[in-house]
This record gives sequence, structure tokens and C-alpha cells, in this order.
Amino acid sequence: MDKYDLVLDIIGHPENFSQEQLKELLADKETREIYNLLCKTGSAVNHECDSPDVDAEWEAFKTKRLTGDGGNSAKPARRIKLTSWLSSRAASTAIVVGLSITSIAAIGIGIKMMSDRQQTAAKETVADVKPLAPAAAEGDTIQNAARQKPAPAEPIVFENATLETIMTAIGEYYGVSVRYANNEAKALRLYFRLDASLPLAEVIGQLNTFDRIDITLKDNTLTVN
Amino acid sequence: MRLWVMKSGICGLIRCMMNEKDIERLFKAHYTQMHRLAMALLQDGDSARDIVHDVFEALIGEGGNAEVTPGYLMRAVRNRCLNQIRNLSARERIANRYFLENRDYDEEQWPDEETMQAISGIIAGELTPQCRRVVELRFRTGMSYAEISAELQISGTAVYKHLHRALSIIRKKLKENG
Repeated sequence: MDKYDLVLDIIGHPENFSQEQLKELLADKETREIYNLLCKTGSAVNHECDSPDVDAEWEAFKTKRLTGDGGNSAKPARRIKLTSWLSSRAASTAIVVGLSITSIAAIGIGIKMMSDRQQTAAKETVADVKPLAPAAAEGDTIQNAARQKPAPAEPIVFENATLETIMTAIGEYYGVSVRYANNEAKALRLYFRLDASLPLAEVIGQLNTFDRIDITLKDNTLTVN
Repeated sequence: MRLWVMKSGICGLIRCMMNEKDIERLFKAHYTQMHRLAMALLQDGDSARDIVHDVFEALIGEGGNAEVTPGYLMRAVRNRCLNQIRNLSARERIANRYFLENRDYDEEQWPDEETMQAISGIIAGELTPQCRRVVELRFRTGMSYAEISAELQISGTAVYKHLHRALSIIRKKLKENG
């Protein structure tokens, strides 16, 4: 059978073929090429459609996703009010700061340092933390994951930071959640150099070399024992 | 000593400063482009729209970032689209005209604006009007072969022949253009 007709048969009536048959037929190089070309043609044809009305889209987005009034009932948990600008993460960071005994002093020193000569340091800090931000770019096709991580040029150094701080950063960067089997572990303080270009397993391996730390990874969750 | 904790506090504040105005600016500047990409991948207006809205929503949820680049937004769209179709079966992929495996999108470096333009150009310039109509009915309106045959009052075989010709011309011309 002509390969074009075969592809047309397949896309016209995929239900007539078993999953295995489909894979087998499309394993042929030329058939696959024609099929992919057909997918691309579909994209190209649909691509010429009128451009969306961006202003109207913005209004729709604002109503549905920003204020939570839009009856987007399928995703109730995702409604976020912009007015609550203090995100949960910032709040937890604030708690860490609040709890640490010397935090007030640290902030004092920090402000002073900022005002004198360390303004550049603050800028660097923003750059340091940036690799943690793109959590919106979910997705983990191998190549994409590699591309999406914005080249963590320099490892992030944690000095005398709590394990909780470090784990939060790791969780954010690798997009995994963190659980604690007990609260003691959270308060452990350590010096740690996070090289975010390494795979997660390796980073965890490094942390596990500390005697008192035992972290396991299962189902996208890191458990600190 | 506690410098990092302090720094992260400051950064937390900076990162949370992304307000509605910032989102609006990014949204209006990049929506069209992002929607085009999602559309090229998913070929479905509603899904494409949802994906782009998701990306902006996540931006707020994550506290935002003072420097969200266009490249970052486009990657986020691509990743979310590919995630959405990741677990589809071969049959579902074929029904939606998605590549058979996600890795093909990287291997084919698709979607590629240039190839897309080239294909559109070939459809507009190299196909007979009837052949073009069949292509559009099939791909834009999603009609079945039987529906196209009824719509244009031509035989089912003729529908096949038109699509066959369209695909072989597009393939040949793309190869000629390198």
C-alpha cells in the first residue's frame, strides 16, 4: 500500500488499528516522516487563523484567574488574589527570619551593609536566587529540562543555613516537595554548596554524606528522616 | 552567618513585588506569540488559551520574578503543552495530530515558524483550489473524509487523492527548499 494512503487511513480511522499496530506502522521511517509532515501541515493551516484579541483575553484572564470571580470551578485551588502579595513562600521565609535569634541584628547589619558598600551584593543575590524562580516552566522532557534551567553558572552557597532553608531551595529548584519526618532535622545548620547543574539524586547524595542527615526521594517528594 | 537567610528575605520581597500591572504588561506584550506557539503544538484554540493563562497564573502564584524574559515564557508554554500530551496513547495522539512521541518535538525542532510559513506558502501557491479546499476542510474544520466528500460533492477516493497530492507536493517542495 502506498505510504501516503496508509497515513491517510491511519489519521482518518485510528480506531481501526490497535495501539501496537499504530506504533508498528509508524515505526517505518518514511511513513513516520509523512505522518509528521501531516501534523505540521495541520499546524500550519490552523496557524493562519486570526490573531487573538489580546485586550479581551487580558480581561478574561483577569476575571477568571486573578479575582476568582470567574466561576473557574474546575480549579478552585488555583484562584489567587493579587492583593495577597505576600506569597506563602515569602511568609515562610519571614518566619525563618523571625525565629532566628539574631535575625533583628542581622537585618540591621544587612541594611547598613546595603546602604554602604554592599549594594552590589544585593544585586548578586537576586541573580543567585533567579534559578529558583522559573517554577512556572514545568515540564521535564530531558532536553527541555536542560534548556529550561537557566544555566546555574555559580553554585549557591549556604553558610550556616538551616536544613529547612536548603531543602526549600532544592525543592523549588527541582520542582519537588519536601516532607519532614521530624522537626529536629529542620533546624540542623550546615554549610552546603548547592550545585544546581547536578541531577537531584546527586545533590541528595551529597547531603546524605552528613552523618545526621537521611533524605529519601520517592514520587517527587523528598522526605527528611 | 545568617546572611543568606536575610538575603532570601529581601529577595522574597523583591520577587513578590510583581503586581497586576507587571502581569498585564507581560501578558499584552507576549500573549499573541505564546498563543501561536501553544496553537502550533496543540492545534486547539481552547487548550492553547488555557495553557497560556496557566503560565501567567503560575507567575503570580510563584511570587513572580522581576525579570521574566520572553524566552522563559515561551519555554513555559512549550513545556506545559508537551506535559499535557505526555501521557496520551498513540491513538489519541494520531486523532489530535500530535507526534507519536514527545521526543519527536525536540528531534524535529518543532514548531518551527519558518517551516510553518513555507507550508502555508505551498498550500496557497502550489495546490489547485479544490485540493486546497479539501486540506482546509480536513485540517481547519476537522471534517471527516465522508463529511468532506458530502460537502464538496466528490467521491471518497477523490478526497484521498487530493490529500495525497497535497502532502506529496508539500513534502517535495520542502525538500527542494532545503
